[in-house]
Amino acid sequence: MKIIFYKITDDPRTVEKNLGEFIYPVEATLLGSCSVHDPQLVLSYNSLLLSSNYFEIVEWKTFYFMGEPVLSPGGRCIVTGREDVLMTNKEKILALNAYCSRCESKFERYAIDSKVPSLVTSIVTNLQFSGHVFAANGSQRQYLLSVKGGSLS
Amino acid sequence: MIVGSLYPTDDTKDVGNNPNPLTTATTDYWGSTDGSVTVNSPESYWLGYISKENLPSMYHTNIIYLDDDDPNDKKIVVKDLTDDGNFPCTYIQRGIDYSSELYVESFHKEYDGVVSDLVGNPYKRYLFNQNYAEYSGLLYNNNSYQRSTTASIDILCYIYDATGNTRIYPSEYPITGQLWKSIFYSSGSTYIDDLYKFLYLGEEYTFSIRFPDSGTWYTYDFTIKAEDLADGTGIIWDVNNQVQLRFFIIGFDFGTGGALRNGGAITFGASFMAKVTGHDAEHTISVLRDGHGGHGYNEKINFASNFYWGTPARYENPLFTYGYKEDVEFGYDAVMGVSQSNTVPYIYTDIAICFSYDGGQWFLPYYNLDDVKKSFSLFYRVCRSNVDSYVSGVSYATDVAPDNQFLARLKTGNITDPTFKHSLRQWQYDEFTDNDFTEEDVPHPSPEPGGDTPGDEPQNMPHDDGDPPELQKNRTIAVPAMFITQYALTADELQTVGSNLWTSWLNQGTDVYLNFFLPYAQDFGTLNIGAALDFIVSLKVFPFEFTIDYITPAANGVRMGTGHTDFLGSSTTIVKSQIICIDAGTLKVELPNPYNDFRDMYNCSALCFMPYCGTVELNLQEILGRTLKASYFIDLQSGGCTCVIECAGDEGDYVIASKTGQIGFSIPLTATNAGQLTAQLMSDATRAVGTIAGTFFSNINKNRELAMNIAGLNQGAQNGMDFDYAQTKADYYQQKANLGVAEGTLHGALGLANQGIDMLSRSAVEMPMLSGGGSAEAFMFADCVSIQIRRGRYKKPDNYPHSIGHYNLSSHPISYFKGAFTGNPSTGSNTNKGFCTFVGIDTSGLDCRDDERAEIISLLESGVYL
Repeated sequence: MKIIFYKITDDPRTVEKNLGEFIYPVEATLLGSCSVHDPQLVLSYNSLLLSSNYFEIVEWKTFYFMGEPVLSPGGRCIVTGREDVLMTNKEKILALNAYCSRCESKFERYAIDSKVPSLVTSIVTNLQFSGHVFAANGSQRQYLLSVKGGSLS
Repeated sequence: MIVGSLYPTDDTKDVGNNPNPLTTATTDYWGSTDGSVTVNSPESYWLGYISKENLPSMYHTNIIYLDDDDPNDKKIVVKDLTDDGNFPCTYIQRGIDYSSELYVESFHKEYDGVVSDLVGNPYKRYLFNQNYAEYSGLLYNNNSYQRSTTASIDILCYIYDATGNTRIYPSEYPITGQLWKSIFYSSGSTYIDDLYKFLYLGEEYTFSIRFPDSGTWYTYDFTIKAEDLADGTGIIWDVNNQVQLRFFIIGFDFGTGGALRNGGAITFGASFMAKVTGHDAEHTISVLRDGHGGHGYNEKINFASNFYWGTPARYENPLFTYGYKEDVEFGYDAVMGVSQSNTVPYIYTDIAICFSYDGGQWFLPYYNLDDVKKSFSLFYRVCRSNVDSYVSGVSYATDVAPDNQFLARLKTGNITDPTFKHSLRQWQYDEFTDNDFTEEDVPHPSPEPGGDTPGDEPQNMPHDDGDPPELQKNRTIAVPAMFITQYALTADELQTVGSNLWTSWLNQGTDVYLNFFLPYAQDFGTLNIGAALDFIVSLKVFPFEFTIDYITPAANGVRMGTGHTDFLGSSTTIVKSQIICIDAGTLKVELPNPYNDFRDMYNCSALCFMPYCGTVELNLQEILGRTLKASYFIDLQSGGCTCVIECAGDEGDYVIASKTGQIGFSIPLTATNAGQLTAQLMSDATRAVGTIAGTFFSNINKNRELAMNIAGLNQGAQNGMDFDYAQTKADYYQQKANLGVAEGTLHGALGLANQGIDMLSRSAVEMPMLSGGGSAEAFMFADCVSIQIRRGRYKKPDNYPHSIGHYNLSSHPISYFKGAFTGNPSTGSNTNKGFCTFVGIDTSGLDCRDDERAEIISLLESGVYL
């Protein structure tokens, strides 16, 4: 079967990975009985293998994270893969309906998010009412003298 | 000769569907002033395209238009008309060197697009694919709004380079490279009516109104200042610190025979700005009111009839572009193009000053007051183009009732919303320069509102309803006549009363008996000095002046008891009501939203300081954007008060907070509660005077009989005087004789008494601070109610959302949440993958193995990059 090796740099959690640098295609065979999810491939040794970290089994249209290659006698190399379910099913995943709890690019600004802020300091704003009615000095003070009677005359 | 035709177009720029031209130009100038292409509204032509029809190349080498088909890549395009006669355009203009970048920029700033979209939403537009202008906030006001708030109109506009990191044009002040000259100014306080004395043809002047730096943050001397480059001091014209500056009026006088020639224009740009030391001069405003025909012309400038589109006035006005990149520039309202046969004696336009200076107060509520250094200026310049001689002038008016809604002409449409919230001033923006919720970091809008997305208000959500109880602020409780009289005294009057209580009887001269002793005895039933004190119910000091609403004249001075003795000797005032309500002003709570997300209201507190009452915590969310009123209900008798804060709601004002306190403070009249020193001194004085008085009256009685014999009987027998009169005379002589005996002792007592009075006077000032009537907290030495708002200043880790994200709370196909591609297209490196986590994943349609399905769900729940 035809195998294409890549060197990717995207986070493994990326759904649509940029396959980046194309390494080389090669023919390989399965090593005994193995699962589709974690296949072991036998192929001819090529030093470019050592710089690869990702491969695609073209026939299966499946992408794999590449494990540590094992060199074996006779110029062969055994490569172990772990299926990248995100990349393999990317179109289907993007079509799924889901409730997004957190998102980097689109979010509800006014939802209180305790994960977001770290309080650095407090900003104080002072607002004053327009009426400056109280005396700043004694000149504006008023004295109230209450007396018994007094206003009779 | 048909030069070309102007075709309308719609927003889609589908220029091919409008076969009928709106107008056709038949002369060299598009929209010639010969009347053939006068248009009712120039704006209607701004969206259109021109078809090339016999275009004379001398005028139409280039044409400019806005290519905004791609909202993310709007650009000004300069196009050679010889290449294509039909193309979409936002605006066209001929006969100008369109290759000038400055022109393009100013064009862009003033006439491009619907700027109302900017309101509260800073945005950027590109110029020549290299630079973009960033707008923030807006600029609107009407008079009522000005009156209730200040500093309410702002616009920010910056020109950045394409990276968005560097301002191409520094927002500095003053303008560099400009010709600044002193201008005429007058010393009038209401109106400068002597126009035409400056701003001569072809020159550029700057008119500056500056509020000089002041140590007090809320009051300013209003000055008009001729800019002085030498020392920066200039000539300051102080206008009483109370000017209500409303309009600047710029006029142009063409004189007899003068005219604005065909194709010519008078242009000006105006800017109104406030600069704060340490900050850039960003919050510049310019507001223009509709122009008016002025003296001798008596015709209002009406665009529908008088504005000729052919004049290039609209496009030459950005005179400030050479140095004033932040300004909003405009000027067409002041410009009028006329044909050669017409003259325009005067053209006026009003530039409304957007800030209100009622009462000389200018609030900068969002500042650290320590940093407030302010200057406030209006600048305008005038230049001419192809115009006969004219002089122009500037004046200002203090029209207090401009009902127009002033609107800076940044857009071609109408802004109907009277207020624009959430606009940031630059310094506010700067306060949060480490804010990483900026447009650069968060380029995408919030999720599309869906039927059940958060934020949608339930259909049956109850709203505010019902009328809140109205505070009866005008209610009064009359002081019980015949029982109590409450005199409202000034400090001087109180001093006089106090002095007369103790000493005046010693200086009454020959009529002391009639003027004092007899009335005193009648009032208080004794001649014991100090008995009047028993008739004083209380003496209190209040930290405000009683308004006319609560007092009434008392022509007979201060009297007690049966009212025979006047202890003041002059008219004064009496309090009418025991309960009064004083208006402590209003406050519209306006705050910037620096983050434009939940953090603006997160961990916030609003503490209301009520002088003489204390503090109350307010709900910031409840008061934000609302107008608050503060009132004090005061019981003058007890000195107690209640400060009430009301919030203006849709259904009326309602009380949101109240607190009681003590605003009237008792002045001790006896020795019991004025502290040990005061007590001893007052007691000594009282005893001394009382003792002396007792001796004095004792002596009077001892010699009474003798006096009667000598004076009363003899003179009564001789002159027929009645006995009472004789007795009075006898008393007088005896008093006079005894005064000499007692004089030495009296002076000593008087000294003590005066000390007591001094103490009394001092206590009038000092005792409020010592009195137990108000706690230390309650007696805040503030002259107004204030609110202190504390909000958090947040700092997120760099690149935070890339790995964690924010709450989205919406349901869509997963592809909806993909991040925008912001990486390098050549390498395919995407720097904005869009981190997302999902719950409630519907795997319908996911035809894969079970193990794959389980892993996919697990990954989506834990987070993936899209």
